[in-house]
Amino acid sequence: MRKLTRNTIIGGAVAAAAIGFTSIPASAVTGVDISAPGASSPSNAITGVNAGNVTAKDNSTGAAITCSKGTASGTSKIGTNLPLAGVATVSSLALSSPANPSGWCSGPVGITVQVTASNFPWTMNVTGVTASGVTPGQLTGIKASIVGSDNCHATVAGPGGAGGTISGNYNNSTHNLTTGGVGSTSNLTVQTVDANCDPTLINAGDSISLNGAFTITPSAPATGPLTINSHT
Amino acid sequence: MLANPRRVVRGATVTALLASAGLLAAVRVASADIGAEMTYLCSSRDASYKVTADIAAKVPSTARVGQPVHLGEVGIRLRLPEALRASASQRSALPQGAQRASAEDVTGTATIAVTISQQGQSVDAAWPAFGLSSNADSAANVGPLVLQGSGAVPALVTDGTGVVAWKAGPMRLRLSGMNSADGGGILSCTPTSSMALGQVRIGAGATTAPQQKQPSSNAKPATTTGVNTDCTEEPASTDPGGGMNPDPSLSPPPFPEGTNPGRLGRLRPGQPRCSKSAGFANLGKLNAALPFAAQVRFRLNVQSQSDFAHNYFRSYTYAHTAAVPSTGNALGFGFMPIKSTLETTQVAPPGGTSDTANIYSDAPINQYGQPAQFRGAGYLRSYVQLKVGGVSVNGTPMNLGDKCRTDAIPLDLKVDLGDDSTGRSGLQDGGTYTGRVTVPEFKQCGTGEDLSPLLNAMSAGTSNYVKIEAAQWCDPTNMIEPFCDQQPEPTTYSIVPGGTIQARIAPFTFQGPAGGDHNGAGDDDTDKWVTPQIRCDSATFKFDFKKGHYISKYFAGRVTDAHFTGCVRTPGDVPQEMKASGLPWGANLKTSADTGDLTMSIAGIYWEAAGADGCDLHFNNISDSYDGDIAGTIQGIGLDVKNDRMSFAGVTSGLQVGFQTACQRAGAGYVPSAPWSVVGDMNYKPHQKITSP
Repeated sequence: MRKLTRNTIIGGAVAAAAIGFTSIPASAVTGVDISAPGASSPSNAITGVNAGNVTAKDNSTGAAITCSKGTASGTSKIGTNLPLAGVATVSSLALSSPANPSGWCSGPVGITVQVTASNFPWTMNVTGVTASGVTPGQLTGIKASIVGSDNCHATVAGPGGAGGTISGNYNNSTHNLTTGGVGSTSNLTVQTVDANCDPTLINAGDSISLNGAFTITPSAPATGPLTINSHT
Repeated sequence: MLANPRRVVRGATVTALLASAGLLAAVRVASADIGAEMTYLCSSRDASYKVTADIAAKVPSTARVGQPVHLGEVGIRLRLPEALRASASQRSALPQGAQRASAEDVTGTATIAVTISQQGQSVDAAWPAFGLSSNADSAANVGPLVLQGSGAVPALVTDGTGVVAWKAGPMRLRLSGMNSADGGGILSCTPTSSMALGQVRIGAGATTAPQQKQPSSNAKPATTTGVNTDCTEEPASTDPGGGMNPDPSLSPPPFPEGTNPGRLGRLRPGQPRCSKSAGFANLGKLNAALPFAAQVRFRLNVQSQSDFAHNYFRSYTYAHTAAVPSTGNALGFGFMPIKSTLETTQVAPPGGTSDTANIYSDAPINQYGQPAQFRGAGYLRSYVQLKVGGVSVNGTPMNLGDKCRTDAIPLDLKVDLGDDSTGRSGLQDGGTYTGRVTVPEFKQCGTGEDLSPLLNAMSAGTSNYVKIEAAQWCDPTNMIEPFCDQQPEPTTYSIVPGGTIQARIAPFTFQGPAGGDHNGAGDDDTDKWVTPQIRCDSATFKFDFKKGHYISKYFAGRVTDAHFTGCVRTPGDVPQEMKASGLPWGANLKTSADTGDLTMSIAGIYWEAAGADGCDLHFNNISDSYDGDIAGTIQGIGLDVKNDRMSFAGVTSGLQVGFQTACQRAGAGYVPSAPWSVVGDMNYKPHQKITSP
């Protein structure tokens, strides 16, 4: 039985992203085609539900926050040869772990954490060509704040406190918008922490990665899944 | 799902109780309820039981100095676990031919130490023993045994204004139906919940008040200790009285093998927490067990150090313990009936100045991080002092004075926090603390004659087993649940008969998320929203559960084998070889505080489904870095112990497709992180009686 390595599985996406950033410059991509059965130009509302856990990890200390439930809403453009920037927006994101007290997400060492995303809408851009149905992209404008059961208050954003950016991809087969994993990038950093925050777990300036997959479903009038392809 | 039969609306309980006691007609208009539903930990010679007690009475809503405050008749209603009745009937000490006690057979008496306090002064309320008999609801020989009774209690007269409060204390329970061979059916009961019964405000009276400066009843002074077992915030590490105990004898244990943590992090205030704990300490020389109940106040994680590479975290926490005096009965030298009250007090080490207890815990940094190779543990290190009083030998009081105590005794208890295979718990989840303590010699016992040698001959010098169940920690600041105004109680289980359990589900259905190209015909095909499933003719799981009473909710059992037969993956009806690995898996129990429903979680799971089409699916959990596999956990499996079923309907977390998967199928159900879940219920046998406690 042939086994693929996990790197291959993650993505096709990662490989495609690498191709997009190196072999074929993103600038070579002139536009993007986005469609969904029943949807019409210029846009269609979308919702996202997590496929598996969603995690945010402090890359300096190794501490992670894991949420078992995630829901998002937003809008996707519909059309042909659309600009690469702003192909979709995210207008809300809610993260939780219903099995935990108060539904807070699971933090490190038994701490539970309330995560609040902010600075909406976030914007999704296409950054490379579609390969094997996987289109690389990035999500920008990300800010969030956290409160831990240890009463630690912290904020996360991009450089200088502006909205941050993470890389990701959309898979036409699974209809998953995936961030993180091998080869992914993030410029999110911890902006502030208070005196209750354990320095063993989180410090100002620590870089943060965001990992997770959301299955995207277009709302009515769309009747089928979203398909994204770089325009050729 | 089973509803918790013990969850009874308190108002209804009290009303029913008063009605059954014939009290309603006697209630005066200007009166108010006092009473409470309380929990006790009751110990016989060799086992402990959780008993709930409803005490209810009526008092005038106001009262005057110098005038008697009549409570009239007081009603009491006790709910005894079935294990207590069953246990008594199973004792080898029962005479031949003795029958299991039926509810109709069981009568008894309950003597409750109630104190009355006003302005810091306390007296014994001198409540008499209550006669108890079973009620009609308890006629069947199954389920809890309910006993109830009522009686008049002395009136109270006080010479000062202000609030007078009633508070219940330890209880002595004698059950006549339990056969005299079982230590006379006598149980010593230590309160494990708030014991406040109620209060009344005393106003200035028209009559001349007595000259005494404390409330009085027709009773002797009580042996109250001033122990405050309420949940109050432990001082922060930066406040007076806060901080870890610096005494070298309370230093942390070595780090787990293979870990290499960095330097100790900055000192922080830490978070206040409280936990109720209950358990017992054996007294080897007396062949007896002394109940123990306490409120423990913590400052959680004031310092820490970690080893990122090995997913390891050590946390530093400190605590103070307020223990309730416990009264126990035993046979001195094997024949002499002895009753005594023991007070356990946290004290400073010899030569030390801080009486703080240090707690160190070893745990993974991340629950979903890389596999951790060490076993989690918590270590409680402190010193305690034992003070004994209220001793009577063969019914004759023995005056030991008020200085009869030991020197400081080192106490080193450990709680197992599990590993990746059993599932892991944290300090705040509570758990079972165990250790051994050697009772040193008591000193200064006796007022005239030195009675220390006699006491030491019966108790000192042996190594004694200590087992304490800590409840889930609560937050007195009400920021994170559970809040301390609804403080959780320690939870343990009785599992009878325990041992091997075979659980079977037929057919077995395991399904993933919809979406994708299941038949390989391309994404435009109509199968894109089909839900992938693996269906087996049957699946059989072999459990090995602990047996007996007082079993911790964590690591109550394990799964030792799992077999799947006749499996196919749909769509496509692709034959599958389904197999389990990573065995044994851990099985943990949990009772919902809201619904009383009993659920089980299974940890340590790895499943693999190898398809005839070359699609090899692995199911477990994936790491928080989204780049590796870790053991899977299924939480929230409903346990219907009446019908011998395990239900996956309420499952709150399942398994995910792992990164070891090698599958050419393009579909949402076949990529890493895709959630799959079991559908249906399992039947198991043999029948298990699982109750708490």
